[in-house]
Order: sequence, then C-alpha cells, then structure tokens
Amino acid sequence: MNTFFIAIIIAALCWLTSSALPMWSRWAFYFGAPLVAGLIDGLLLGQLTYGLQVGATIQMAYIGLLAVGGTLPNEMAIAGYLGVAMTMLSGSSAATGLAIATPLGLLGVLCQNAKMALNPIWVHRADTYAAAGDVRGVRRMNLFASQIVPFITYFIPAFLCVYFGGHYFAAFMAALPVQITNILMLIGKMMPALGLAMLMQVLAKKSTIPFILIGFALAAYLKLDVMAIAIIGTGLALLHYYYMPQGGHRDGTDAKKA
Amino acid sequence: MEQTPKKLSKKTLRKTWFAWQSWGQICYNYERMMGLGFAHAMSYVLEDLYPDDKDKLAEGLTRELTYYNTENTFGSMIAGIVASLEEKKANDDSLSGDMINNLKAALMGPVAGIGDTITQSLVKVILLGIGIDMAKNGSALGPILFVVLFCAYALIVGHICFYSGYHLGQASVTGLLKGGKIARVTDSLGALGMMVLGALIPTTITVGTPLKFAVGQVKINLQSILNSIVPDLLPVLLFLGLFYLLRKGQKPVRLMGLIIVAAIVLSLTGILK
Repeated sequence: MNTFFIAIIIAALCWLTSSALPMWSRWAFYFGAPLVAGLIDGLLLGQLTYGLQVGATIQMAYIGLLAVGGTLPNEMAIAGYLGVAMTMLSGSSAATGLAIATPLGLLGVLCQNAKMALNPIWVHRADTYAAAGDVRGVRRMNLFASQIVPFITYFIPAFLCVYFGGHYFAAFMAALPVQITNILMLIGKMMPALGLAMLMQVLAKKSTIPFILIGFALAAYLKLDVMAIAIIGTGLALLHYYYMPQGGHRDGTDAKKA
Repeated sequence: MEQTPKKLSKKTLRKTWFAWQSWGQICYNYERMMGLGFAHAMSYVLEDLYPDDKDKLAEGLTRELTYYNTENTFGSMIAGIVASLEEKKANDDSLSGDMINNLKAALMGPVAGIGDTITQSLVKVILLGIGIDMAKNGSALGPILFVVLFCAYALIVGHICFYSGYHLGQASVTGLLKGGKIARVTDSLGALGMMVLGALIPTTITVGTPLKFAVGQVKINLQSILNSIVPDLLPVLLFLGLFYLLRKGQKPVRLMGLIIVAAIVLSLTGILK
C-alpha cells in the first residue's frame, strides 16, 4: 500500500483511540494499543506475523500500567500504533521494538497534556450554551470541539513521523552499532518487570499471595498457557470466594498501606 | 388540578446510558475532567423532563456541568442514580440541586476505586495476558478476542450498573459500597489476578545471562546452573527488586530511568542479555 495512506491510517488510529472513539471501546483499543496495533499495522504493512510479535512484545511492558486519576506516565496510543509501525518500518526485532515504543510513548505524554490543558476552552463555551438552555450547543462542544486539540497533537505528529520518518528511521536503526542495539534490547526485556511490579502493588494482599506462587509454578514448570492458567485461576478464585469470612479477609493487609 | 408525575421514557434512559458510556470522557480536561461528558449524558434526561421550560433546562445543564471524575464502567451507576434524582426533582422542587451535586462528589471517588481496580488491574490484565499469549504464537485471534471481550465487558457491566443505579437508587449503592460483598468479590478477583500475574513473570520477563566460567577443563554455563535452581530465577529477582523499590515509595518514572542505566552497565559488561 501507498506510504501516504498507511501514514494517514496510523495517524488516525493514534488520534481516534486516544481521544475520539466511544469510551466503552477505548478500554480495549487504548489499553491494548500495542497488541491491537500488532494486528492492524501488521495487516497494513503486509507482515501479519511480524506485526503480531512486535505488538505482543511491546504490550508486555505495559500490561501492569494503570491510569490512576486518568493520566498515564506513557501515552499508549502513540507507543502502540506509532511504535509498532516505526519498529516494523525500520525492520527491527520485536525486542528492539520496546526500546522504540517507550521513548515515543514518553513524548506522547506531551500530546496528552496539551489536550488536557487546552480542552477547558470548550468547557467554558459549553457553560455559555448551558446557561442559555441550548442542549445541542453543549453536546456539540463535547463531541466535536473536543477533537480539535487532539487532532493537532496526535494526528499531525504521527502522520509526519510515519510519512517522512519511516524511511530515515530504517537507515538510522541499521547504522546503530551492535552494542547500542544490545542495550536497547535488554531494556526491552527488563521493562515488563516494572509493569508487573506496579500491578503487584495494587493486587497484593496477604490472602492472595498463595495464588502468585501457583500461577508462577504452572507457567514456569508446567509451561501451561495463560488461558489454561486463567481457567484454573477462576476455579480457585471461586473457592476463595466461597470459603472467605463475611466481609472479606480481615488479615488481608493492603500492600500500599503496609 | 393534579398533574401526572413526570417519568423518564425508556428511550431517554437508553440514550443517557449510552451517551455516558460513549462520550463521558471525550472532552477530558484538567479543569473539570469528565464534567462536560456527564452534562452531555444528562442533557437527554433534562430535555425529557423540561421540554418547554428553558429556564429549568438551563439550570439543570449548569448543575450537571461541574467537576466530575470517576471510572466509566462502574461510574454508570452514578449516572443512573442522578437520572432518577433529576426525575424526582422535576416532580418535587424541594429536592435541592446541591444535594445532587454533593451525592455525585461523594460517590465518584469510591466508585472509581472499585472500578479502576476491577477494570484496569484485573479484567484488563487477564484478557491482555491471554491475548498476548496468542499473538506471540502468531495468532491474529489474540487481539481480536481481546477487543471483543473487553468491549463486551464494558457494555454489559456498564448497562447493569446504570439500570441498577436508576432503579435501586442511592441507598442501595451506598449499602453496597459499605457492605462486605463487594470486598469479597474484589478479593476473589484479586486472587485470579495474582494467578495470572504469577504466570506472566516467567513468560514476559525474558532476561538471561550469557556468562560462562571455565573451571579447569570444564566450561560452565551460568544460565544452566540458574535454571537448575529455579527456572527464570533472574526474572523473578528483577521483579521482586522492583516491587521492593515501589513499596519503598520510589516513583515508576525513576525506576524506568534506573532500568535504562542498569541495562547500559549490564549489557556493556556482558552480565545480562
């Protein structure tokens, strides 16, 4: 496919999934951005298996990442749809992909902040419409005016990056010395540990510690896949529920408070 | 003359629920977060209650356009409660607008707490774990299944929450938040989350060591020794180390920096790969 159209589609994905799609679908398209990008970017660039592997690898680092109070330390739409595309355009390995996506995601936080900081303009205009009892005006501000800033901060940079950067990026990655590539790959392999540790911080309670040991043993020794472990986990979680004292475990100290 | 009490139509309720779950966060901003999205959803309720009263409509829209921030899926419950309160207020003007706003402010935090834990740290992680596993093996079904199941979760749970909020009202929700049942459910879901977390440690953290020692004539590969103690020992240690630092109060951004520095040192010295 033509680079121009590929750049348009990837830029549109960054914009729509970060800001415009209905929220019930953004849970999936935004928080699973790298994984979904693996499929969509893979199809766009005609290398599905490669795309899926890059997407799955990048997604691992973000699996534990939580938006507390609505903001994330890394912009997932950019890291996902743009990160997977740039990795594929440069022909890098899936492990290197993470070292490409993470810096892009950090820059993407600027896109997010600009949107959050400038959107009050439309809220104030909505105030005026509300005071006049103009229902349509209020809805228009919410649905359409809200998209002006994200279009500028997400669509345009992502488009320029893919359309003009794709070619140079491949040459840049090829010229990198092997030591640098090794470092980038090691960062990529270590990064998932941070996401999982963040997740542990939210989930860990005294009464649920046994389950992490069971899950680990099933995966590390028995090599079961996650689906099988989730099914066994559902069974154990039900047992946990039925045999729990009323009002939950009193001894269950929250890791955050401990 | 006795007036028939105003009642929200089924269509209005459906539109309100769908507008909240679709557009509640579309104009997200630092000043009022989801305030405009909430007003958008309530605009259908107010339009239905005050079809020919511009003043009441304006008053209602302004009331609903205040600061508001919660989790979208479980937050549907609050949208349902507010819809029922607006309906009551239209029939009985002694119910104050302040009361509605106070209720929103009181419920949004606790509901977000439950919603963020269940939606983001449990449902998301489990579905992603399955999707990643399938995608790594080259199956396009991984991302497709993830999207379909996560959207279905958001819509079904959100729908149930909205209508239970509307029909049962605030008392039952406050009871639910205080009562033990939700704690037990969250705890059990946490158990499932921990199982999947345990499974993700060896499958997603893939660091190893290329170090080799020569003892006399025999060359020893350090990685195979580590494997014979506990498979994936290095990933486990890395995970536990980072968890320890997080609990000590280190910020994730700093730890990300630490990982980068450590990777540079350990890669150049050939200790890890």
